[in-house]
Amino acid sequence: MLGRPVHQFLPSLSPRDAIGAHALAIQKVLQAHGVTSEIFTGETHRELRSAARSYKEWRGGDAILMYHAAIGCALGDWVATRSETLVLDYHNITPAEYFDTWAPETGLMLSQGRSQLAKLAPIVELGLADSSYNASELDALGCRATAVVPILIDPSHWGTIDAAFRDELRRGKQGHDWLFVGRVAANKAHHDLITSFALYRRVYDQHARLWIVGGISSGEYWDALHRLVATLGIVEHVTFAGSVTQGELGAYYDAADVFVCVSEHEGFLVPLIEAMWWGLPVVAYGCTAIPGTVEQAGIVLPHKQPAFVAAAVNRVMSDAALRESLIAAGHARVDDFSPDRTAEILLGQLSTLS
Amino acid sequence: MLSDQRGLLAEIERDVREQRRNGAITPEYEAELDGAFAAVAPPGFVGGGFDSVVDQAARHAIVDFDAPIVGNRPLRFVKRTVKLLTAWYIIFVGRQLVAFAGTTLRALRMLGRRVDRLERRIPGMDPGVQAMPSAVASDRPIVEWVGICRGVFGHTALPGLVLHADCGDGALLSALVASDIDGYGIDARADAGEVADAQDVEVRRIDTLTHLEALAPGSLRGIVLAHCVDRLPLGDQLQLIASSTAAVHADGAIVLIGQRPDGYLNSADRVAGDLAPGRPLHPETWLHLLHQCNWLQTECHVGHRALPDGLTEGGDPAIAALIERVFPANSYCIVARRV
Repeated sequence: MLGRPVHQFLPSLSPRDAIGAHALAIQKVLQAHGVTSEIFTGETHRELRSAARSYKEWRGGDAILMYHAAIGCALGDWVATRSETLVLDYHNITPAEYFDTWAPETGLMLSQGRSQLAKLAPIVELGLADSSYNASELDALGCRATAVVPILIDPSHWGTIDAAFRDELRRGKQGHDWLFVGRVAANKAHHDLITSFALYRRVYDQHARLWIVGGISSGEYWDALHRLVATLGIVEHVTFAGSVTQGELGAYYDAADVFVCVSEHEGFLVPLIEAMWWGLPVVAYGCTAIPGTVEQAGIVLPHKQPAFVAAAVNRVMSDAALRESLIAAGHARVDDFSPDRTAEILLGQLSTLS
Repeated sequence: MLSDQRGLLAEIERDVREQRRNGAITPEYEAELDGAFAAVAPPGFVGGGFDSVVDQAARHAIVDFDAPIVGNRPLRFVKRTVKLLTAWYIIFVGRQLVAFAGTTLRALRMLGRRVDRLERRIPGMDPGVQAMPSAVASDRPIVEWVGICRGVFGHTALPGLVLHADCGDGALLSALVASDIDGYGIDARADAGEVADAQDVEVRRIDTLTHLEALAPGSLRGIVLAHCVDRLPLGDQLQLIASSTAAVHADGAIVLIGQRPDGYLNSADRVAGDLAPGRPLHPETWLHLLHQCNWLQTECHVGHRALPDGLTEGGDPAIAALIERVFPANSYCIVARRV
């Protein structure tokens, strides 16, 4: 049983953000177990102002401070100076080189985040990591104790569908529809997804469509992707949906045939689990935390040559037995991340500090 | 749950090979896809040299003092007023920023020229040397090692494929594939793909280190390193072992086929040897490097000697030692495993 309050500190709290949703879910779990828990942030989106306070309002006390590390910010330096019991929840920090070309200012913040992580890891009492991949980074930085605690996923929010929008998506269907969900950022390699899709259309399915769902991290990268799509002559077959509502997101998942991910750097990637929950077969390039997130519930590719990615998707689309087994394996994998199970692991780890 | 992920991936690889063979996927189209994003991305993200990135910085260093004042009528009026009132201040600060950026760029360009001069003095860094890769025809044949490779890779149930890096004419790769060992080759040399196509094996035209760095950790069942091991500069040779270590499965194996430095210098293609950016290493050196990367179970096999007619290796140990000294075996093959 936890005897002390556990307060969470995160750089920013925004709606439709995986880390923000995770922090809110942790707060819910802690409060349900009678633990006092507040959220303190560097910045809070106006929609969530009632859910968090500025970290500058923290007055100290006997509490466990849990810092969510994902990017550099003033809060990261501030946490390192605190004398309370510190817990680090590490969601991974994208290497800055992915942003240096497209959004140098973000690259600087990521570099700062890495420096702060190197300072924090050896001084925290406990390092929590979304994946074994993230845990191995904390170990390498000298963290005294690390534990894998996946992102707290709450599938009860996922079932929302904008039915009219889904029907609209289905009306234009003639071939297979690819889906990828995630911020449009260079580390997620949307450019490789697009070239693989172009080859798939040319070789296997001339009516295929690609839906790219997710907000923009860099306007320049976004523009370059549009130029790429135009160069390859597939403008009409690729949709850049941007940031969408929960209902629209549900419609995309429900209408798509396959979830394809060729991202090069992920600390966990919640949309993989979301896709499995929606019954989509997953084809993903196996790097960083992705093999650990997918395990045997999807096709994990050792490389991502466009011809190979396209052939893998074609195999899934043309082999009904394989598709069914992937969907079943996906559902089973989602159960591994059930909120109750993750909450139990989290509470167990935190109780070692009390 | 996928029970045979490895088998499935091998089938997908076979499908790709079939599509390439029947012309549905052409090398030209794949090259077009590979280059498509580079053509629309800013320099520096996909390829693009130092100079092009500095040019991009130079474009960004020019500050636009003329802020847009579009908007509805009252807003436009406010913007215009603010612009007029603050113009002197913005220009004052802006000029200092431009001066700073200009000086920094000038320093960068000077630094670039100094690095260019330095690179010309380092073997393997000079663009002229890099543009002269040896032809596949100048490679020493390595097919004598096929038996050892079969023994290493033939009886494992590990996931992933076997990669033959710098596979040259593809003869060894072809023999492995014929023995039901699923694998593919890579070789950046222009003539390698054509020669290997004739052997009906899959060869991707890419540089070994670039390919290894792009692979997911532990994704290969094993790797055969040949040819490039004798030509790469020392830093790249060290990186080759590090990258192979990352790419090969924990229970996988590395097979390294190299030549002794003395034999290499006496090789038939002296021009290719002299112009190579690097030099071969002794087997002891590779063993040392492999041990450093935790490849603790190693064995080193010695290749055939080219003995004059009438001279045989058997018999007197003293004569055998003399033969070893006078006619050393030029090639060797190291097999390394982690446990």
